[in-house]
Amino acid sequence: MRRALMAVGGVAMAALVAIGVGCGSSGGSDTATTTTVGAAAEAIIKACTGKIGVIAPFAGTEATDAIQMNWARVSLDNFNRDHGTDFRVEPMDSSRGTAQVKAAARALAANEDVVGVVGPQTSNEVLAAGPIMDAAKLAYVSPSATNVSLTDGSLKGFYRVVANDSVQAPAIGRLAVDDLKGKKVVILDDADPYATGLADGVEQYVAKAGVPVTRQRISADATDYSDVITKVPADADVVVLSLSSADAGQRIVKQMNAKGREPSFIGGDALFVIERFNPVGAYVTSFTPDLRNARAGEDVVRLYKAVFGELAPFGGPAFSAMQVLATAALRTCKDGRASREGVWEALPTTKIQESVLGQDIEFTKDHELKNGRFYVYRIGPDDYQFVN
Amino acid sequence: MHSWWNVSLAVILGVAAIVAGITAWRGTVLNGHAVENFTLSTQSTNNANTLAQDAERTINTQRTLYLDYQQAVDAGDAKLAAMAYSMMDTGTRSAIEWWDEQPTGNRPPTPFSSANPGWPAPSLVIDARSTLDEAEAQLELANDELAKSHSLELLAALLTITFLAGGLSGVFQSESAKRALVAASGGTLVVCLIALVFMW
Repeated sequence: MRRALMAVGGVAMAALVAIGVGCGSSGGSDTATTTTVGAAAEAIIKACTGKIGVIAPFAGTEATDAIQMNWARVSLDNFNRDHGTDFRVEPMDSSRGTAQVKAAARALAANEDVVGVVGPQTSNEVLAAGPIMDAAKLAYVSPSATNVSLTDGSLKGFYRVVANDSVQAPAIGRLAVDDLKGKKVVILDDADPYATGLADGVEQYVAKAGVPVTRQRISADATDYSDVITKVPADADVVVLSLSSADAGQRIVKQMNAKGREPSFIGGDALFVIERFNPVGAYVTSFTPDLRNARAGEDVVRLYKAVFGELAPFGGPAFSAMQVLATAALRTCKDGRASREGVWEALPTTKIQESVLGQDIEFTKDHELKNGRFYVYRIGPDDYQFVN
Repeated sequence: MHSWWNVSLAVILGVAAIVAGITAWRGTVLNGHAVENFTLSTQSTNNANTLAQDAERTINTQRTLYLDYQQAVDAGDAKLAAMAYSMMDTGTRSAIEWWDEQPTGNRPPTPFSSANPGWPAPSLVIDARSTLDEAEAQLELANDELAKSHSLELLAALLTITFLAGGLSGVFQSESAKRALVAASGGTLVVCLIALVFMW
């Protein structure tokens, strides 16, 4: 009897101890914090200074000119707020061509406070400015340069947070052949390396699918495309606009429609500027998702609108490029200062989980975005409609 | 055997009383936290709204003063230009100074551009929105604690079944009925204990 009493008493005590442990293990106000910086970084001095260059257009008067600059700035100020850092933007305008971009790269390379660069914007600009920044061991992350050859190993400091044209070309090919059931495809390209590279990939895909495909070179600066339109077969039902100029694409579509020609039009990502290329019903691809489709993206779109008073839901890559550079800088901060060498070393292994792009930002050994993809949109009356 | 059941019943009822007390205490604590967090979130929301209004007012004032200043400079009115400049805050002056120093080819259309490191508007807006996000998080926490508190109150009510079943076991003469009621009492207590741990 006594043993039974002791056993029961023991069980009761064990129950009370379990309740006591429960009391102690959880507090009343649990606050969850998330951070995209690794645990090792939390041990680093919280305040960290440095400059991050941005090579993007901002000297023009069009609102669309400064979107990448705007997004990079929002990203940096947001990062500073979240991490207690004091990184500053070092802006360099690129609205006047590759000569200006080269000068910008030289200026940034010479400024020892600059620890990394967002940009340049286009593949041509990367080719022009890359060797200058490589020589200075200044890492640069492009939010929009998609030419495949940029990551052939010749540009050591180049990274990108978007998929390249080897992903875009099949996406356009699939749309033309599989979705739109094109019977005869015409590809129009201009002399820009981006345009010809993309056109090569699309032509390859369509030809492999057994669909007749022809190609024509146009001039992006021409205003009258009558001679080009005459050479487009009358029975061509899909026209791919592999062009570097959205204005040229708009002109071609208008002129073709005016002559009673109404094939399905597919534009490459350079035409993803709704203010300049907006024929209703046309398709266009982009390396950037609509940020409104992801929770994290939705928040920053609202933030952007609060700062700039307009909606710009397709600026995610510039935000992510800045974020990954700032993260690499913070990871390697010493004595309150970020360093160029630190960013150069840290960038290959820097990772952003659940970025505003709706995926993790992580680089392959070739400095490409892991699992990057292109998105297909259809142009509606006043916005893009996500297709695939 | 008979005394074994009595002892078990006594232990069950004893533990049930303790658990009931702890459940009630925890429910009250969470209720209190919820009220505290509701109050804090209201305060944070007010702070966030104030910050947002201040940011908007600062941005508009910066632009207006700059326009007045630039018009005065263009018109050659040094006195008016100086007056407008003197009314500017350090952020506006810093933005204008940076803009003035830029070569024409590398200068945005106005000093109030994201390219201007001295333009403070983005960080003002971000601060306001961060405060609002904190307020929303506090509100969510308060709602969560209130829901837990209500669940614990329900649990305390369910514990009365333990007492009822245990008490009834003393009324019936049949051994099987007694066992069944003691088992029901014990079973309810175990379920409530597990629920208490999860809901803590």
